[in-house]
Amino acid sequence: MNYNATQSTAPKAPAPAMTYICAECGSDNEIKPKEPIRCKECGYRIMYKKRTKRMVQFEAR
Amino acid sequence: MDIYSNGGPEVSIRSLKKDSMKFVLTNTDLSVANALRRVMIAEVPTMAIDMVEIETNSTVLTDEFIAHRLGMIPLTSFDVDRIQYTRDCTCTLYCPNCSVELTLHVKVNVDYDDMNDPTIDKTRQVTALDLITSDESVKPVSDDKAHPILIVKMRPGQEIKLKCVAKKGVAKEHAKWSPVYGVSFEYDPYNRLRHSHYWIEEDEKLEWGVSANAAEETPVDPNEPFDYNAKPDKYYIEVETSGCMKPEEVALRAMTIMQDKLGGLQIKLDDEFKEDTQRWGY
Repeated sequence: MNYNATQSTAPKAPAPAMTYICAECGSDNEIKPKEPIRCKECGYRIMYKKRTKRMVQFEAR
Repeated sequence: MDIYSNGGPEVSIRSLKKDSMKFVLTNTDLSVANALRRVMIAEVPTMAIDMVEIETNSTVLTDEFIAHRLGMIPLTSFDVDRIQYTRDCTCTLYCPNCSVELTLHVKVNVDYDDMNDPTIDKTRQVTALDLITSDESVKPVSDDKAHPILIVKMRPGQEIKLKCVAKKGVAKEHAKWSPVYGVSFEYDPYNRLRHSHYWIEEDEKLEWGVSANAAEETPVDPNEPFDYNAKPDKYYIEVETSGCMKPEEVALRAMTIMQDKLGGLQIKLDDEFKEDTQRWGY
């Protein structure tokens, strides 16, 4: 597969803000790419990623 | 005694309960009795959860941990003949002919009035009874309604939502498909044949008592000579099932499976001999 082609032809979509959870106070934080990783509520710099909304499949063994 | 002279193997049932059975197998070789034991443990097909699709899980247990726990739950399997093995089915992934779907959705709401009262137990026990099956003949074994099989404990605010796919299988692939929790197997309780070599401190008779099955056999006279040609021909077997099917059903199915295997072998051997006769003329 040609990765470069798909990258160049796709128009640069505005980067969506991702929601992370503050490791200190637990509040949701919307952080965009290149934005400083810092909690808006308490200033803490460690964030957790949220669980995927997609279904995950496992073998029960 | 010739084992073929009087009609072949015999079974006499000593006790039959809801999930266990004791029987004595006589007039057969040790290898046949052991084969029956092994087939009951590992080759009688049952249903078990084999795939878990988790949508939401905010409990303290990880997805794979819960998936594994779900796989171990025994499912009622007396109607297992109706269901095909997924590998033999014509469908691409799974379908109602080769699988049964079970769903689990539990959300524990936060009760703000009780939230700060430590005397109220806010733990929600999610058990096998919370699983909703798509097929009433395949559902978690629940003989003891007061103590159902625990899957996970939840706190207010947590949620679990998933779909399980139960498939037909045998325990030689994974032990979760075994219909039995245990098979006890004994022969020659007085050790007349000297197949057992007991580890002892001082006295074998004092340190190693005889089992209850010894009541059916005559004790060994210490003066009689050792018969090195003797073979065992009486086997004391007890089957305890997981509740997925009746114990007598497990034994009968195991015997049918052994017969089918030997039948297949006989046909193959016959074909082989016919080919040889055609090729070499003898």
